[in-house]
Amino acid sequence: MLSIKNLVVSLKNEDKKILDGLSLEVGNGEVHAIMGPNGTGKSTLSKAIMGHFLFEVNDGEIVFNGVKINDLSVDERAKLGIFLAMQDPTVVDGVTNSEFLKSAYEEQTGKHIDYFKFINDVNKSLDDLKFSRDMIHRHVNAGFSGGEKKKNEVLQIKMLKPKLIILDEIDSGLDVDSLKTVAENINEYKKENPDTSILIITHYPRILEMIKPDYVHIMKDGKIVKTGDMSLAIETEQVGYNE
Amino acid sequence: MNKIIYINNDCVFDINKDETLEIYHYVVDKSVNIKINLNGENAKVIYRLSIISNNDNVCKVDVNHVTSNTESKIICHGVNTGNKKLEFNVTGLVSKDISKCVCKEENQIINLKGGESVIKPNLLIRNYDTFSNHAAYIGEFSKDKLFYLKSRGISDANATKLLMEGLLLGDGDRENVIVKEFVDNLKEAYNG
Ligand SMILES: Nc1ncnc2c1ncn2[C@@H]1O[C@H](COP(=O)(O)OP(=O)(O)OP(=O)(O)O)[C@@H](O)[C@H]1O
Ligand SMILES: [Mg+2]
Repeated sequence: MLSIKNLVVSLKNEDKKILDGLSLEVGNGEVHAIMGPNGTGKSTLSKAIMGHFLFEVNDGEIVFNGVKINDLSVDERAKLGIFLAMQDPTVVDGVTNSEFLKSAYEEQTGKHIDYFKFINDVNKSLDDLKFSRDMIHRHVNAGFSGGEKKKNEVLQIKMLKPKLIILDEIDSGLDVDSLKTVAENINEYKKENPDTSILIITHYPRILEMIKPDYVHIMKDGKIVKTGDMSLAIETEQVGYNE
Repeated sequence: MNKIIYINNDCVFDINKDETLEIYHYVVDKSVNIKINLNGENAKVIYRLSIISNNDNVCKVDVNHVTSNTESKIICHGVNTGNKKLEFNVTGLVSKDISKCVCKEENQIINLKGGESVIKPNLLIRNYDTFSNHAAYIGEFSKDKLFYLKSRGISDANATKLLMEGLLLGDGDRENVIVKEFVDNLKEAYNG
């Protein structure tokens, strides 16, 4: 599904390398977790995969389902089926959630929306997420609480049906019940779409107990330095990153 | 008394005692000249200008606080789609013997193609107990917002269109004829 080879990334017009020779293979249907200290480049990795304007890929390649995506535009990457649930989702005032989702859905599927079906699907997804139905009429993330922003990301996943889901600290800001709801929704999605791959960036094993990873990676200084299974996540929580 | 109106032409407004008027003004590529007089105590106005501009245009909005205890809030949003000049010239006047007024301005111009845009906020306030403020922004659409929209598969053109509609339509009633006509023009202006 996703194959990253020797990726070197810096901020545009700056020499300092944030990612420094990172490699990662994510197979179809696999769940991977990445843990690592603050500032080590986890969000940068997720943004580089998505083609964020702040970063430049200096070396290496990102291949998604056989296509090298280094030079694709952001929306082209999304259209291939990559979804980044952001650590801090952006507020887009003036644009309602429904206009936003409708545009994204229409562009991704190339189909004109059947409005009644769309609203039905949205309402069902909102109910699944225990998310108030009027959220769909509010401006994108404007005035949303931290947890509501995270649920809004998951709502988009449920509607847009990506093939690769990157969850950048989806668990931060969610209360215990909301985290459980979100994890259930992701697991349900994965059950319905077993080929979907998931990359979970987190600081805490708790979410990994709910969405079970096949591999756990430890990232440090812009590379992956250790790979293991769930026990690595638990061990890391106990001893920290310096052991 | 509270009244909401939608316009697409220049006007002079006289707002009397205890009246509140909300004006939505939608303009496609022409200059604007608006005068608002707050004539009686407790007269209030909220004026919102939305303009899409492709040629040289000047938007002149004058608000005169004729009486004490009057309030104005002027919000001008523009998108400069070409490489010509768009100017906002917004004046709030409170003379010396007029007291306890509120006078606010918020002006924003988005340059899509590097046209020249100018905002001249003039608060001519001769009285000390007036509450006034203004905010102005000239620039591009936020890259972060564009990135967020595009990361969901929306093309650059459509993401820009969504942000344009968001900025210009605001909370205007999208079922109103003047708004509908403006939306059609917006789509045309953007495609062409
Ligand atoms: N826009 C930016 N401007 C300046 N520095 C940046 C920017 N974005 C990232 N960096 C730097 O790049 C490094 C990696 O940041 P990144 O956000 O990827 O870390 P992270 O591993 O996600 O950390 P956290 O666990 O705190 O979320 C940090 O040193 C950060 O300061
Ligand atoms: Mg991060």
